[in-house]
Amino acid sequence: MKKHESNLVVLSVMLCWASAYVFIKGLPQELSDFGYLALMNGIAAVILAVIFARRFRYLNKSNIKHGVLLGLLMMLVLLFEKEGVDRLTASSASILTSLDILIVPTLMLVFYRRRPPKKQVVAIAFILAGVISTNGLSLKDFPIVGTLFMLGDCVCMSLYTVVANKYCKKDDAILLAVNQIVTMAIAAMILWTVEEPGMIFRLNYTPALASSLFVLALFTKAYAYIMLMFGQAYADPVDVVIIFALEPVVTMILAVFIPSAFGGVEENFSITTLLGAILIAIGAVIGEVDIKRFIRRFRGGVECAKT
Amino acid sequence: MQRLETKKSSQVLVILLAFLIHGIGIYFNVMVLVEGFTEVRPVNAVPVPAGLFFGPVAGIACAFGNLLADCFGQLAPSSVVGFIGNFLAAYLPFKLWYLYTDEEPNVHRLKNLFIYVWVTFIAAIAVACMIGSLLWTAFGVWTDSLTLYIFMNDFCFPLFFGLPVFIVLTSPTINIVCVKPVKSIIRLPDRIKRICVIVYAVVLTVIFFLTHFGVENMKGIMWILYLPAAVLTLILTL
Repeated sequence: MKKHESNLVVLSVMLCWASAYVFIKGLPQELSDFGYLALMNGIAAVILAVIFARRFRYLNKSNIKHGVLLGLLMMLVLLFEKEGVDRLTASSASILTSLDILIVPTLMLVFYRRRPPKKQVVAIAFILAGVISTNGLSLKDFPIVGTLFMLGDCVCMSLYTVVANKYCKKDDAILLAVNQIVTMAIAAMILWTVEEPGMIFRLNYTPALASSLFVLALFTKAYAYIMLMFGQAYADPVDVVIIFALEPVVTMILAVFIPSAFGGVEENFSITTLLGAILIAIGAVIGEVDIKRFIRRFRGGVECAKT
Repeated sequence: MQRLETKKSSQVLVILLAFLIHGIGIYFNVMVLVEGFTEVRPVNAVPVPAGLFFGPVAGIACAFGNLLADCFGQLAPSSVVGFIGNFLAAYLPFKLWYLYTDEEPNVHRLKNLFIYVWVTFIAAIAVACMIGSLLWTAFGVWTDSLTLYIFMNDFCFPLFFGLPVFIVLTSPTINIVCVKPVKSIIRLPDRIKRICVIVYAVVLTVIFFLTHFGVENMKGIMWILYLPAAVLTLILTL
């Protein structure tokens, strides 16, 4: 898989997660966060188990261990995020979440002694400037407990990105994704049962709910994790976080096209958010597109045309 | 790495999968855009990659998948239009791919990526115009926004979700083997065929834009509505 291919695969995962909000709106209020995670991952696990049943003969200890570890890391990410978001404003949470763009290169430097190339450093600077411009920065909006939870979320997500990159190269991507989703489904089911015993049986499963659950499980879990594991096997972890940083840009575009699903254009669109989105997009282009190669090709093409 | 051979069994499995995903996915429609005709359909990501891999067989699978979905509540004589549209959504990309390259479908090179986007665009606009005009000429149904929604579903989902699946299936880990191109009925140089395709795309784009942003009474101009069908027949024989 070439770099542009792995980038496109990771980009599609980001698109899935950014657009999930459209479908989450169809879920009932009485469904808690743990209930949502348990049902999503449970349905996704069943879908993947049916589709890839024949692949299970290649299951081994390493695959299971790595899948479980990744699943637990992702559960930690979601738990920290839940606690952090409850205690912080949306913009503060967004700024802290985007710090993984600094943590991942640091982890790569510490564990693999790999320095990020200059263009990635420039890209990171642009993206951080974009995130701050989009959300605004005020120190009052960062209470200690909430900030610590969000930093925990950020560190776990960065670890997940780096570790997934390592495991995806060794293990079967499909089995890794399936094990991960099964682990998340079991963990979420336990937490849901502790929080609201018996709720799974009391929930009113209307066709609208079933429809939203099915689409969310299929796209944001089954599809997204399989694709992420394939993409991570070939993409550099820093490239992955740079692509994921595009999420606010996608949300803004979706808000323009489907305003009803994202709370109206006005809520998501202002000069500062637009400026932030442009900075993030420029950062992503600098980080991911080989501009020099394009210029060389273009010049080559022009010279060929002249001769 | 083992290459996924197109043995009958694996081919049938993948086609069955496309058929089931398509059928089940449409039944679980999430956001109805035009009541009784179309909704936000993420499953429209399936036909383009399936068509590129398995050609006409995938087209038939997607068409029957759509018919199966219609059986759960929306079955009507107009379902024939959906059947044709879904067949074309898978078959047209396959037919057009080999006009631009001799390689098996893949996007390892940027040139092939542009071909994927181009054939997806042609298929999407062809299906949108075909369904719009057929529904009006055969069943008297006209909805201004219908063609736009069909185009968006058939263009955006194969790009954002179909393309990544396509990349994974053509990656060294899986490396699926595609069916061979079918022989053309009309023997013309490829360059002329490509020009025909560009002309077809331009004509359809003009019709598409006129329908939405220009002429209000498009349904009165019958020859424009028959044009997509006539030119499409020509394209299919190329």
